[in-house]
Amino acid sequence: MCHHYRLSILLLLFSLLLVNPLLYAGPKEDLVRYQGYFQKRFSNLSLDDLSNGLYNFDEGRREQWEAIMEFPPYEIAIEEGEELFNKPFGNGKRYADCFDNGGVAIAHTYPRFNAKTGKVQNISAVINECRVANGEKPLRYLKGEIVKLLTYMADTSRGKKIDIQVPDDPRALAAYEDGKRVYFTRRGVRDFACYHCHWEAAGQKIRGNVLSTAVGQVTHFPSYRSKWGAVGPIQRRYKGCMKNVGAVPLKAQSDAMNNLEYFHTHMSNGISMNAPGTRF
Amino acid sequence: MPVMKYNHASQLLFVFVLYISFIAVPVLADTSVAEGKKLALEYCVACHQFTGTNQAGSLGPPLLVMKSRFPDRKTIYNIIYDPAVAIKPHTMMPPFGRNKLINKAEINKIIDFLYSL
Repeated sequence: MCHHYRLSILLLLFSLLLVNPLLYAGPKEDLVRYQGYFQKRFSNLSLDDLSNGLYNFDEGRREQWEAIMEFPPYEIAIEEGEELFNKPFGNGKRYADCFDNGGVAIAHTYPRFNAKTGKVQNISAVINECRVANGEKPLRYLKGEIVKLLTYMADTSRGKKIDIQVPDDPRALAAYEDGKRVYFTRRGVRDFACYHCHWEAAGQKIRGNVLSTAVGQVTHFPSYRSKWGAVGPIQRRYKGCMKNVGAVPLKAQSDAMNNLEYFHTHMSNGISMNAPGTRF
Repeated sequence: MPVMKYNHASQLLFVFVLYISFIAVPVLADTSVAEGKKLALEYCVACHQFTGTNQAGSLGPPLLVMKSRFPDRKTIYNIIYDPAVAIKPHTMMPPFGRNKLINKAEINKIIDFLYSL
């Protein structure tokens, strides 16, 4: 009798082990859990509010930020970006020919999984792919001309809800899971994962700086940062974070970096784009 | 003569002991506290508040009355060396000793400073 009882408990535990991973099977379930976590913890803030990052937690800085936003420092980059975007290549083609909807109001759907290559691509990668396909030299990533193009393209998506798709393709799911691994992996001599500061410690202070919530971070990128004195994309920000924790930053456009951007952007699905943004 | 020699030596020893106990040790201790404070302002302030901080973080508990809270020096040493072992495996606190952010002597200077709080 006792033996049977033990056996049934064992069987029950075993079946739970089998079922549990199925309950949290993928990106959709993750999204509910991740956003649910922050909504519960900061119940006075809406999902869209989360996109205002540290300014949700520091009234003084929020006032300064609102004052800055009356004459946003990224405006010039939008104008210059639009000009560059519309300038034809040597062969007469344009960037618009390489994107859905002529490249307008699509930034909130990137990064995307590319079924041809089996890899994740952000807008910067498509911009350079487009240039090379049309006989132009690729631009350098993270600074300069490419950022102006990103800034303009993001501005055309302002107000649209982030919409990252992880298609039913094992390679897409693998990329997403790899991004998750990068996100939750401790790195550097200080041994921090992205998770530690922007999840567990979100809303608290590290030195004089308030930490923003993981959900809602991507929506305002590219962003003008006073520290940079320029607009920059999210991968430049990732590199800065990695340096801060004493790690050798991952290379921009590496698989790990692109997968991280994929995973990190996906967790803000449904939140309105407010890029380009400003942080100081 | 040998007696004189002995006296001379003992006088020297006496002066030396005086020097050690009233000048050298306190000065050394003071230096250690000051150096510990400098290190704490570099390594601890990002997460902990303590007397003398201005832009301190709030991730960890404030460093107050440390000597009565941690009478055993070894306890603090172990926490600073590797909190994943001394506190809990998933702690956010960096393993300063294990990852060689600071060496043994530096940890001890930080403890000297913490004990002055």
